Amino acid sequence: MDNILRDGTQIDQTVFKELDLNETSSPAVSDYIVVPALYTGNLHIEIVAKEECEIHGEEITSTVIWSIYTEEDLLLNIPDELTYSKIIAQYPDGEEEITQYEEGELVIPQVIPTEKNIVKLTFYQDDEIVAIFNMDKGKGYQIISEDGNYVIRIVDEEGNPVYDIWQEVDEDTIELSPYIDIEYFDREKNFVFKLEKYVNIPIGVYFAGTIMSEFSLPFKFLKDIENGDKCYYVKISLNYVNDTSSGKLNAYLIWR
Amino acid sequence: MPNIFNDGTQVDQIIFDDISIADASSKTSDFMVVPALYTGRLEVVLMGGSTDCVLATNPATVDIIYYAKSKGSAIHTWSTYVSISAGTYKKGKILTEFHIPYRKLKEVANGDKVFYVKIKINYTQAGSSGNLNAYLVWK
Repeated sequence: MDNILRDGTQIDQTVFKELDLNETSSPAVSDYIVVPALYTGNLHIEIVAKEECEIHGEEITSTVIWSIYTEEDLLLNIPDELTYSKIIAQYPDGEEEITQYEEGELVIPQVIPTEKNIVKLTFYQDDEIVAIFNMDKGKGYQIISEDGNYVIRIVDEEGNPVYDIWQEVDEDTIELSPYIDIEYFDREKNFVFKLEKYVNIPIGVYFAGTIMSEFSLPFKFLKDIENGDKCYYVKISLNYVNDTSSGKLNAYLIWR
Repeated sequence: MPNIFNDGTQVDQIIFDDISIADASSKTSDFMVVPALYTGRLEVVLMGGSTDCVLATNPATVDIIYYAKSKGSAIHTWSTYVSISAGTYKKGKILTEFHIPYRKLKEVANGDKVFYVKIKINYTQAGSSGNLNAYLVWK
Protein backbone atom coordinates (compact mmCIF):
# COMPACT_ATOMS: atom_id res chain seq x y z
CA MET A 1 0.00 0.00 0.00
CA ASP A 2 1.31 3.44 -0.90
CA ASN A 3 2.22 5.64 1.99
CA ILE A 4 4.18 8.32 0.18
CA LEU A 5 3.66 10.12 -3.13
CA ARG A 6 6.46 10.64 -5.64
CA ASP A 7 7.09 14.21 -4.52
CA GLY A 8 7.56 13.08 -0.94
CA THR A 9 4.09 13.95 0.29
CA GLN A 10 3.17 11.69 3.18
CA ILE A 11 -0.18 9.89 2.88
CA ASP A 12 -2.30 10.05 5.99
CA GLN A 13 -5.01 7.61 4.89
CA THR A 14 -6.08 5.81 1.72
CA VAL A 15 -9.60 6.89 0.78
CA PHE A 16 -10.11 4.77 -2.34
CA LYS A 17 -7.76 1.96 -3.28
CA GLU A 18 -7.85 0.88 -6.91
CA LEU A 19 -11.45 1.92 -7.30
CA ASP A 20 -12.67 0.44 -10.58
CA LEU A 21 -14.73 3.14 -12.26
CA ASN A 22 -16.48 0.72 -14.57
CA GLU A 23 -17.37 -1.93 -12.05
CA THR A 24 -18.28 0.30 -9.12
CA SER A 25 -21.76 1.74 -9.00
CA SER A 26 -22.04 5.47 -8.63
CA PRO A 27 -21.73 7.08 -6.22
CA ALA A 28 -18.60 5.42 -4.92
CA VAL A 29 -18.62 6.17 -1.20
CA SER A 30 -15.55 5.89 0.98
CA ASP A 31 -15.47 4.36 4.42
CA TYR A 32 -15.54 6.70 7.41
CA ILE A 33 -12.32 8.70 7.38
CA VAL A 34 -11.12 9.78 10.81
CA VAL A 35 -10.30 13.48 10.66
CA PRO A 36 -9.50 14.82 14.13
CA ALA A 37 -7.29 17.39 12.39
CA LEU A 38 -10.15 18.66 10.21
CA TYR A 39 -10.28 22.08 11.89
CA THR A 40 -6.64 22.78 11.16
CA GLY A 41 -7.57 23.15 7.49
CA ASN A 42 -4.51 21.16 6.52
CA LEU A 43 -6.26 18.02 5.28
CA HIS A 44 -6.39 17.51 1.55
CA ILE A 45 -7.74 14.84 -0.74
CA GLU A 46 -5.91 13.87 -3.87
CA ILE A 47 -7.43 11.61 -6.50
CA VAL A 48 -4.90 9.97 -8.79
CA ALA A 49 -5.34 7.65 -11.77
CA LYS A 50 -3.90 4.28 -10.82
CA GLU A 51 -4.02 3.22 -14.45
CA GLU A 52 -5.40 5.02 -17.48
CA CYS A 53 -8.83 6.26 -16.47
CA GLU A 54 -11.68 7.67 -18.44
CA ILE A 55 -14.36 9.38 -16.40
CA HIS A 56 -17.75 10.69 -17.45
CA GLY A 57 -20.70 12.38 -15.84
CA GLU A 58 -24.42 12.41 -16.25
CA GLU A 59 -25.78 13.33 -19.65
CA ILE A 60 -28.72 15.60 -20.24
CA THR A 61 -30.47 15.32 -23.55
CA SER A 62 -32.42 18.25 -24.85
CA THR A 63 -35.84 17.78 -26.29
CA VAL A 64 -36.84 18.46 -29.85
CA ILE A 65 -38.18 21.98 -30.10
CA TRP A 66 -39.70 23.72 -33.08
CA SER A 67 -38.89 27.36 -33.41
CA ILE A 68 -41.23 29.65 -35.28
CA TYR A 69 -40.33 33.22 -35.93
CA THR A 70 -43.06 35.80 -36.20
CA GLU A 71 -42.45 39.43 -36.95
CA GLU A 72 -41.44 40.47 -33.47
CA ASP A 73 -41.07 37.36 -31.41
CA LEU A 74 -39.62 33.90 -31.45
CA LEU A 75 -42.22 31.31 -30.48
CA LEU A 76 -40.96 28.12 -28.89
CA ASN A 77 -43.41 25.35 -29.54
CA ILE A 78 -42.49 23.26 -26.57
CA PRO A 79 -43.49 19.59 -26.47
CA ASP A 80 -46.03 18.56 -23.85
CA GLU A 81 -43.65 16.02 -22.36
CA LEU A 82 -41.11 18.69 -21.40
CA THR A 83 -41.97 19.72 -17.86
CA TYR A 84 -40.30 22.88 -16.70
CA SER A 85 -40.88 25.78 -14.37
CA LYS A 86 -38.63 28.45 -15.85
CA ILE A 87 -36.51 29.32 -18.84
CA ILE A 88 -33.30 31.29 -18.51
CA ALA A 89 -32.23 33.06 -21.67
CA GLN A 90 -28.56 33.83 -22.10
CA TYR A 91 -27.97 36.96 -24.09
CA PRO A 92 -24.53 38.20 -25.11
CA ASP A 93 -24.66 40.75 -22.30
CA GLY A 94 -26.06 38.56 -19.55
CA GLU A 95 -28.89 36.27 -18.55
CA GLU A 96 -32.48 36.75 -17.59
CA GLU A 97 -35.54 34.68 -16.98
CA ILE A 98 -38.00 34.88 -19.83
CA THR A 99 -40.66 32.43 -18.68
CA GLN A 100 -44.14 33.77 -19.16
CA TYR A 101 -46.95 33.14 -16.71
CA GLU A 102 -50.58 34.21 -16.69
CA GLU A 103 -52.34 34.04 -13.33
CA GLY A 104 -49.76 31.59 -12.07
CA GLU A 105 -50.05 29.27 -15.07
CA LEU A 106 -47.28 28.73 -17.60
CA VAL A 107 -48.01 30.13 -21.02
CA ILE A 108 -47.26 27.66 -23.80
CA PRO A 109 -45.87 28.31 -26.32
CA GLN A 110 -43.36 30.63 -24.81
CA VAL A 111 -42.78 33.87 -26.64
CA ILE A 112 -39.18 35.06 -26.69
CA PRO A 113 -38.58 38.74 -27.44
CA THR A 114 -36.07 38.99 -30.26
CA GLU A 115 -34.71 42.48 -29.91
CA LYS A 116 -31.47 40.87 -28.72
CA ASN A 117 -29.56 37.85 -29.97
CA ILE A 118 -30.06 34.73 -27.92
CA VAL A 119 -27.11 32.49 -27.16
CA LYS A 120 -28.77 29.77 -25.15
CA LEU A 121 -32.05 28.86 -23.53
CA THR A 122 -31.91 26.69 -20.43
CA PHE A 123 -35.05 25.01 -19.15
CA TYR A 124 -35.30 24.33 -15.44
CA GLN A 125 -37.66 22.23 -13.36
CA ASP A 126 -37.16 23.85 -9.98
CA ASP A 127 -33.37 24.01 -9.76
CA GLU A 128 -32.61 21.12 -12.10
CA ILE A 129 -31.74 21.61 -15.74
CA VAL A 130 -34.12 19.57 -17.91
CA ALA A 131 -33.23 20.86 -21.37
CA ILE A 132 -30.78 23.16 -23.06
CA PHE A 133 -31.36 24.84 -26.37
CA ASN A 134 -28.13 26.23 -27.80
CA MET A 135 -28.22 29.00 -30.35
CA ASP A 136 -24.77 30.28 -31.17
CA LYS A 137 -24.57 33.96 -31.90
CA GLY A 138 -22.90 33.36 -35.22
CA LYS A 139 -21.92 36.06 -37.66
CA GLY A 140 -23.42 37.78 -40.58
CA TYR A 141 -26.73 36.38 -41.55
CA GLN A 142 -26.97 33.53 -39.13
CA ILE A 143 -27.50 35.34 -35.89
CA ILE A 144 -29.27 32.54 -34.07
CA SER A 145 -28.30 29.37 -35.79
CA GLU A 146 -25.43 26.96 -35.95
CA ASP A 147 -24.97 24.67 -38.97
CA GLY A 148 -28.60 24.65 -39.91
CA ASN A 149 -29.89 22.78 -36.90
CA TYR A 150 -31.77 25.66 -35.44
CA VAL A 151 -33.64 28.63 -36.72
CA ILE A 152 -31.63 30.48 -39.31
CA ARG A 153 -32.46 34.14 -39.23
CA ILE A 154 -31.76 36.11 -42.35
CA VAL A 155 -31.05 39.73 -41.51
CA ASP A 156 -30.51 42.82 -43.59
CA GLU A 157 -27.39 44.94 -43.51
CA GLU A 158 -28.57 46.71 -40.39
CA GLY A 159 -29.24 43.48 -38.62
CA ASN A 160 -33.00 43.64 -38.88
CA PRO A 161 -34.72 40.29 -39.39
CA VAL A 162 -36.02 39.68 -42.89
CA TYR A 163 -37.26 36.11 -42.63
CA ASP A 164 -36.44 32.86 -40.95
CA ILE A 165 -35.91 29.33 -42.11
CA TRP A 166 -37.69 26.91 -39.85
CA GLN A 167 -35.94 23.74 -38.88
CA GLU A 168 -36.38 21.03 -36.34
CA VAL A 169 -33.81 21.04 -33.59
CA ASP A 170 -31.65 17.95 -33.43
CA GLU A 171 -31.39 16.21 -30.14
CA ASP A 172 -28.50 17.70 -28.29
CA THR A 173 -26.73 16.10 -25.38
CA ILE A 174 -24.53 17.79 -22.85
CA GLU A 175 -22.50 15.98 -20.25
CA LEU A 176 -22.18 17.24 -16.72
CA SER A 177 -18.90 16.86 -14.87
CA PRO A 178 -18.45 14.09 -12.34
CA TYR A 179 -18.38 15.57 -8.86
CA ILE A 180 -17.49 14.98 -5.22
CA ASP A 181 -19.77 15.16 -2.20
CA ILE A 182 -18.40 15.36 1.33
CA GLU A 183 -20.40 14.07 4.29
CA TYR A 184 -19.50 15.08 7.85
CA PHE A 185 -20.19 12.97 10.95
CA ASP A 186 -19.58 13.39 14.65
CA ARG A 187 -17.60 10.99 16.87
CA GLU A 188 -20.66 8.73 17.27
CA LYS A 189 -20.99 8.67 13.48
CA ASN A 190 -24.14 10.74 13.60
CA PHE A 191 -24.68 12.66 10.38
CA VAL A 192 -23.87 16.38 10.64
CA PHE A 193 -23.89 17.78 7.12
CA LYS A 194 -23.53 16.87 3.46
CA LEU A 195 -21.68 19.27 1.21
CA GLU A 196 -23.00 18.37 -2.22
CA LYS A 197 -21.16 18.85 -5.50
CA TYR A 198 -18.21 20.46 -3.78
CA VAL A 199 -15.64 19.94 -6.50
CA ASN A 200 -16.03 18.86 -10.09
CA ILE A 201 -13.72 16.49 -11.94
CA PRO A 202 -13.11 17.43 -15.56
CA ILE A 203 -14.45 14.83 -17.98
CA GLY A 204 -11.72 13.05 -19.86
CA VAL A 205 -8.90 10.55 -19.98
CA TYR A 206 -6.21 10.54 -17.30
CA PHE A 207 -2.97 8.66 -17.74
CA ALA A 208 -1.61 6.56 -14.91
CA GLY A 209 -0.21 8.72 -12.14
CA THR A 210 -1.94 11.94 -13.19
CA ILE A 211 -4.07 13.93 -10.80
CA MET A 212 -7.81 13.84 -11.42
CA SER A 213 -8.73 16.12 -8.55
CA GLU A 214 -7.16 17.79 -5.53
CA PHE A 215 -9.00 19.72 -2.87
CA SER A 216 -8.87 20.58 0.79
CA LEU A 217 -11.51 19.45 3.24
CA PRO A 218 -13.47 22.63 3.91
CA PHE A 219 -14.32 23.35 7.51
CA LYS A 220 -14.86 27.09 8.00
CA PHE A 221 -18.46 26.95 6.77
CA LEU A 222 -19.27 24.38 9.48
CA LYS A 223 -19.46 27.17 12.05
CA ASP A 224 -22.89 27.99 10.58
CA ILE A 225 -24.07 24.37 10.84
CA GLU A 226 -25.61 22.78 13.93
CA ASN A 227 -22.99 20.52 15.53
CA GLY A 228 -20.56 21.70 12.88
CA ASP A 229 -17.89 21.96 15.57
CA LYS A 230 -18.16 18.26 16.43
CA CYS A 231 -17.10 16.65 13.17
CA TYR A 232 -14.78 13.70 13.59
CA TYR A 233 -15.37 11.62 10.47
CA VAL A 234 -15.96 12.40 6.83
CA LYS A 235 -17.00 10.34 3.85
CA ILE A 236 -16.11 11.15 0.27
CA SER A 237 -18.58 10.30 -2.51
CA LEU A 238 -17.53 10.20 -6.15
CA ASN A 239 -20.50 10.72 -8.47
CA TYR A 240 -20.07 9.70 -12.10
CA VAL A 241 -21.49 7.33 -14.71
CA ASN A 242 -19.87 3.94 -14.45
CA ASP A 243 -21.12 2.54 -17.79
CA THR A 244 -19.02 4.99 -19.78
CA SER A 245 -16.12 5.27 -17.36
CA SER A 246 -13.17 2.93 -17.06
CA GLY A 247 -9.87 2.40 -15.29
CA LYS A 248 -8.87 2.41 -11.66
CA LEU A 249 -8.08 5.29 -9.36
CA ASN A 250 -6.69 5.87 -5.92
CA ALA A 251 -7.63 8.63 -3.51
CA TYR A 252 -5.56 9.74 -0.57
CA LEU A 253 -5.96 11.91 2.46
CA ILE A 254 -2.82 13.94 2.94
CA TRP A 255 -1.66 16.39 5.57
CA ARG A 256 -0.02 19.58 4.43
CA MET B 1 -12.21 46.97 5.14
CA PRO B 2 -11.61 43.70 6.99
CA ASN B 3 -8.16 42.20 7.08
CA ILE B 4 -8.81 39.57 9.70
CA PHE B 5 -11.68 37.10 10.21
CA ASN B 6 -13.49 36.56 13.48
CA ASP B 7 -11.50 33.35 14.00
CA GLY B 8 -8.22 35.23 13.64
CA THR B 9 -7.46 34.20 10.07
CA GLN B 10 -5.36 36.88 8.41
CA VAL B 11 -6.55 38.09 5.00
CA ASP B 12 -3.77 38.14 2.44
CA GLN B 13 -5.69 39.88 -0.36
CA ILE B 14 -9.21 41.07 -0.98
CA ILE B 15 -10.44 39.48 -4.18
CA PHE B 16 -13.96 40.93 -4.34
CA ASP B 17 -14.89 43.87 -2.15
CA ASP B 18 -18.64 43.83 -1.62
CA ILE B 19 -19.40 43.50 -5.33
CA SER B 20 -22.96 43.37 -6.62
CA ILE B 21 -23.84 40.21 -8.50
CA ALA B 22 -27.09 41.49 -9.96
CA ASP B 23 -25.61 43.16 -13.02
CA ALA B 24 -23.94 40.23 -14.81
CA SER B 25 -23.88 36.45 -15.01
CA SER B 26 -20.25 36.15 -13.98
CA LYS B 27 -17.63 38.06 -12.05
CA THR B 28 -13.91 37.81 -12.69
CA SER B 29 -11.30 39.05 -10.25
CA ASP B 30 -8.26 41.12 -11.05
CA PHE B 31 -4.92 39.39 -11.29
CA MET B 32 -3.96 38.11 -7.85
CA VAL B 33 -0.27 37.82 -7.13
CA VAL B 34 0.33 34.34 -5.77
CA PRO B 35 4.08 33.73 -5.38
CA ALA B 36 3.20 31.35 -2.54
CA LEU B 37 0.93 29.22 -4.73
CA TYR B 38 3.22 26.20 -4.67
CA THR B 39 3.15 26.00 -0.89
CA GLY B 40 -0.45 24.81 -1.26
CA ARG B 41 -1.48 27.07 1.59
CA LEU B 42 -3.49 29.69 -0.28
CA GLU B 43 -7.18 29.52 0.32
CA VAL B 44 -10.09 31.44 -1.19
CA VAL B 45 -13.15 32.21 0.93
CA LEU B 46 -16.34 33.65 -0.55
CA MET B 47 -18.78 35.31 1.86
CA GLY B 48 -22.06 37.16 1.77
CA GLY B 49 -21.58 40.93 1.57
CA SER B 50 -23.34 43.98 2.91
CA THR B 51 -26.69 42.91 1.46
CA ASP B 52 -28.00 39.35 1.37
CA CYS B 53 -26.34 37.48 -1.47
CA VAL B 54 -28.95 35.48 -3.39
CA LEU B 55 -27.62 32.93 -5.86
CA ALA B 56 -30.28 31.63 -8.20
CA THR B 57 -28.27 29.02 -10.06
CA ASN B 58 -27.94 25.54 -8.72
CA PRO B 59 -25.09 25.21 -8.71
CA ALA B 60 -23.05 28.32 -9.35
CA THR B 61 -19.44 27.48 -10.13
CA VAL B 62 -15.97 28.92 -9.74
CA ASP B 63 -13.22 28.80 -12.36
CA ILE B 64 -9.54 29.26 -11.53
CA ILE B 65 -7.31 30.74 -14.21
CA TYR B 66 -3.53 30.60 -13.90
CA TYR B 67 -1.10 33.09 -15.48
CA ALA B 68 2.66 33.56 -15.73
CA LYS B 69 4.45 36.70 -14.61
CA SER B 70 4.02 38.17 -18.10
CA LYS B 71 0.20 37.99 -17.73
CA GLY B 72 -0.09 36.70 -21.31
CA SER B 73 -2.34 33.82 -22.24
CA ALA B 74 -3.55 31.67 -19.42
CA ILE B 75 -1.27 28.77 -18.55
CA HIS B 76 -4.19 26.72 -17.37
CA THR B 77 -7.87 27.10 -16.59
CA TRP B 78 -9.58 24.87 -14.12
CA SER B 79 -13.21 25.26 -15.15
CA THR B 80 -16.00 24.72 -12.65
CA TYR B 81 -13.51 23.73 -9.98
CA VAL B 82 -16.00 24.08 -7.15
CA SER B 83 -19.76 24.40 -7.05
CA ILE B 84 -21.84 26.68 -4.84
CA SER B 85 -25.37 25.74 -3.88
CA ALA B 86 -28.16 28.15 -4.74
CA GLY B 87 -29.51 30.03 -1.76
CA THR B 88 -29.40 33.15 0.31
CA TYR B 89 -26.16 33.98 2.09
CA LYS B 90 -26.30 36.63 4.75
CA LYS B 91 -23.40 38.90 5.59
CA GLY B 92 -20.39 36.85 6.61
CA LYS B 93 -21.92 33.49 5.71
CA ILE B 94 -19.57 31.37 3.64
CA LEU B 95 -20.62 30.53 0.09
CA THR B 96 -17.60 28.37 -0.51
CA GLU B 97 -14.01 27.91 0.61
CA PHE B 98 -11.27 26.11 -1.27
CA HIS B 99 -7.52 25.88 -1.51
CA ILE B 100 -6.07 26.96 -4.81
CA PRO B 101 -4.97 23.69 -6.35
CA TYR B 102 -1.40 23.56 -7.61
CA ARG B 103 -0.27 19.93 -7.75
CA LYS B 104 -2.09 19.34 -11.03
CA LEU B 105 0.03 22.10 -12.57
CA LYS B 106 3.04 19.82 -12.69
CA GLU B 107 1.28 18.04 -15.55
CA VAL B 108 0.66 21.28 -17.48
CA ALA B 109 3.13 23.04 -19.79
CA ASN B 110 4.68 25.97 -17.89
CA GLY B 111 2.71 24.89 -14.88
CA ASP B 112 5.72 25.69 -12.71
CA LYS B 113 5.69 29.35 -13.80
CA VAL B 114 2.38 30.51 -12.39
CA PHE B 115 2.59 33.90 -10.71
CA TYR B 116 -0.95 35.24 -10.98
CA VAL B 117 -4.38 33.70 -10.57
CA LYS B 118 -7.83 34.96 -11.43
CA ILE B 119 -11.06 33.70 -9.90
CA LYS B 120 -14.25 33.68 -11.94
CA ILE B 121 -17.69 33.08 -10.46
CA ASN B 122 -20.38 31.84 -12.84
CA TYR B 123 -24.06 32.03 -11.99
CA THR B 124 -27.40 32.93 -13.46
CA GLN B 125 -28.07 36.64 -13.40
CA ALA B 126 -31.82 36.20 -13.36
CA GLY B 127 -32.96 35.94 -9.77
CA SER B 128 -29.51 36.62 -8.34
CA SER B 129 -28.96 39.70 -6.23
CA GLY B 130 -27.01 41.19 -3.37
CA ASN B 131 -23.33 41.49 -2.66
CA LEU B 132 -20.43 39.23 -1.91
CA ASN B 133 -16.88 39.40 -0.66
CA ALA B 134 -14.00 37.13 -1.50
CA TYR B 135 -10.68 36.85 0.26
CA LEU B 136 -7.37 35.15 -0.28
CA VAL B 137 -6.07 33.78 2.99
CA TRP B 138 -2.89 32.01 4.00
CA LYS B 139 -3.35 28.84 6.00
